[in-house]
Amino acid sequence: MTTLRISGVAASYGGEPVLHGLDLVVPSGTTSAILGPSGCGKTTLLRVVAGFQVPDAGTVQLDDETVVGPGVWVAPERRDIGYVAQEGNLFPHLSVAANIAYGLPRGERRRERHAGERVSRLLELVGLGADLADRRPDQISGGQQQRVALARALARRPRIVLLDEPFSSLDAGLRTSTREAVADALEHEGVTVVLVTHDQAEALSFADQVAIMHAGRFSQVGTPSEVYATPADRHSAAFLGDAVFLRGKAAGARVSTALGALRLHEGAGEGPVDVLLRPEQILLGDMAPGRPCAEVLSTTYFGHDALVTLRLQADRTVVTARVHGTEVPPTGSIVGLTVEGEARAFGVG
Amino acid sequence: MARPRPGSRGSAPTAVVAVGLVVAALCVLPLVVVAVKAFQVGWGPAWALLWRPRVGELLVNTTSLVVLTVAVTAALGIGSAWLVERTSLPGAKLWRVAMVAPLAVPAFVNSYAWVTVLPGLDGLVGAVLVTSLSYFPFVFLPVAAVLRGLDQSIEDSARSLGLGPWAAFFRAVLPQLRPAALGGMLLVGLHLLSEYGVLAMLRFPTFTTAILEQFEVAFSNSAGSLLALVLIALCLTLLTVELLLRGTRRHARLGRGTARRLVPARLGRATAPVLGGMTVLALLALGVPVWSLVHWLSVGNPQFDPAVLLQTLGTTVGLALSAGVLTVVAAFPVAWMISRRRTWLSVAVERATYVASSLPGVVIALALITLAVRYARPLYQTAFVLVAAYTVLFIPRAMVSIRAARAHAPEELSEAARALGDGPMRAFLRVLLPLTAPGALAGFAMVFIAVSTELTATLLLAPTGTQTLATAFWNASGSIDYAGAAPYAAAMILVSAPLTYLLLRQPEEETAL
Repeated sequence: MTTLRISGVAASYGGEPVLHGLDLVVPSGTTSAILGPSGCGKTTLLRVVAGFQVPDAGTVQLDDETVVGPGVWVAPERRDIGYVAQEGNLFPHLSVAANIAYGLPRGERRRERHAGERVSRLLELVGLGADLADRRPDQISGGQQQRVALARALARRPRIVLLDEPFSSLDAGLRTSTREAVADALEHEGVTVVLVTHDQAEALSFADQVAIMHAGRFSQVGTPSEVYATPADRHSAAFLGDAVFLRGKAAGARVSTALGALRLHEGAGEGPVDVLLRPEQILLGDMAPGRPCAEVLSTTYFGHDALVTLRLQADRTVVTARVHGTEVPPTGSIVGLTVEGEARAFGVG
Repeated sequence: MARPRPGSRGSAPTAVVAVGLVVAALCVLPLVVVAVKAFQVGWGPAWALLWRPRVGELLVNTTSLVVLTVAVTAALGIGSAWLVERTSLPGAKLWRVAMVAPLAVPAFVNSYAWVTVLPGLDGLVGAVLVTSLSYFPFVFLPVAAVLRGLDQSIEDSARSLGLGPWAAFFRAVLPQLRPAALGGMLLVGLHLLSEYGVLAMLRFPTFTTAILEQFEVAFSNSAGSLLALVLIALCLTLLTVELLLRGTRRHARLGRGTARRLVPARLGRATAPVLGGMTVLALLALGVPVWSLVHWLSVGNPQFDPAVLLQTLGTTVGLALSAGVLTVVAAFPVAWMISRRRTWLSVAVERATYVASSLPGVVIALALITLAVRYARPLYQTAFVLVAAYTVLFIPRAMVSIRAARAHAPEELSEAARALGDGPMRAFLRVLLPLTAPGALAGFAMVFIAVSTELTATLLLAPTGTQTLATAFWNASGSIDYAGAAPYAAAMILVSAPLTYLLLRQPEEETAL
């Protein structure tokens, strides 16, 4: 059980600064996701923690031990950190069992070469059968490779586990099942986990804490529901999922918009603001007096649900609403709208 | 606890860089030595030595040989590669082997075979004939590799854009062959510039044969050094021409997904004449040397002593082993540097080793003799200098294999090992070494074979009394003892035979000889 503390970490890649003073605490036994678009520096941060890159400034601590800091640098092999990379990076010349046993002490490794007790337990932990133990990495699927990579990292009982986009190279179906197997295994081990990803659904579903990264800085750190419902800025809002922006006029805890008067998550003073809603907060119904109405411009059908593009009759603003796949309105029809939950206001930008 | 900081991602460890720099320096040293020596002659005497009808004749000879042979090898190589890889030619696999196998016969053995069949053969015609038959596989190999890897969908796209089958071939397929064909032709050109054995046997003087003659006449080799400088200039000209013709356009496949297999062109009624043509080519390139060898072996020489052959074989294997090991050890750090992020330093080191490889063996040998005589007298006339020359000559061959193997062991795997508790050294031993060993072994084999059949540098540098298969063959055939030379030729071909296999499994566009 180890707490990871990152403070003031700055780093550059090829002379270009990519991280600008990052702070993050990952409490013992929890999972944090670092979410950001590709090129934002999230992998660099992971490499700094793992010890593959030396930061320009800042410290990284595992509990009370400083592994990187002023005058301190602990080699990666002495940090007890498990690292699972995007492609798994299994050793192609070793069998699955030998890969998993790679980091074990020599004597134990010899015993485990053909799926000893430890290797079998780890394979089971990541949801794989012991029959894979003698296969080569190129004889198993991508999802299986990722699970073996995790088992290999867990074999040494690391203090924390770093996952660098471990599911992004898998296709959609495999991604979900692999992610679930990995999440179960990690939860079972109770290990502290940092996941790096550009997939917002993955971050929100996988982690206890989500840190949104933009151009080498954290724009927001919070629980998944916090960052989704109350994003700190427009960038976080748009990155975390479909967003509807409306013009509005704030007055204390309420704001008046083309969708009527809405409750605000927190007071925004007086005056013009931009209002954020999520598409699933906008509910479609029959027209009724006093209820804002809109014309259905188009629909995008996903099966389980659908996105409906609407033009508000009040000020002709275009918004989107998410509806159940069974309740898709015909294009051109006029519907009445109600808003559920609280809205979020940003200064007019 | 403060520990030494590792290099940032991409750069190789300091020790590796240091060794790489030393290797690169050794590779450029011959060039520097020859240049310095030539400049010491002074402008006046240099001009007098260079501005002679003799030099003009050498220039004409060398240039016409290079132009004609490169043209013939290009036609033979590209044509046969297209027939083997892209048409319904029966027995394509067998033909592929037959088109590479001539490389297992050293060119100077081939000339001996041809002189056996046509005793009057000499001059430009003979030189072009023999060198073309010996060297056309240099064009065949890379072109065939590219043709094999070509994506049918590119040709299909061209067809769908309104091009007929011929137009599609010329506008969509042929341009993709250009880098490979040019690379092969450059290789042929460089080999021709450094060829000694064939041309001496066929009495066709070029710069290389003249330099060796000069050396035999007088050890003071200022004239030789000047000729060597001209030879280097010709090499650099070839390199530049190839670079200019190649251009910078990209020919790599864009987009993901596996390339679709090619649909072979149907030969139809042309099958029989094409088969006939291929058979004639194979007979000329392989049949003649085999027939001649069998002929001379059956004639036999009553004075032939198998013990001497065995002893020579032992010497050759010893030299080839040491040079092979040394070359692989020297190539490893260079390949390591190159496989990391490209910096100006790693590019410079890579180029340095290739510059050395484009220098004729005779130039490298002369430079090493000069160095040894002047600065390391006890080393002169020792096997050490000879092995050093082999290393400089053949380091690119080892590097091709090791680089390819290094690509199978990406940096991420070393990092994975580090994260699993290995220090840098243990990560190297447990991950990098096992993964690159097959490539290193292939590189070693390439060098071993090259050394076993090397003639020019060996003639100049071998300690007095030391005979290799190549020099023993050369001495015997030089004194018209063709029957006595045959066993040595046969031994060289046996040692070289695996080369065919090694070359056929080399990754495409990576052929460097």
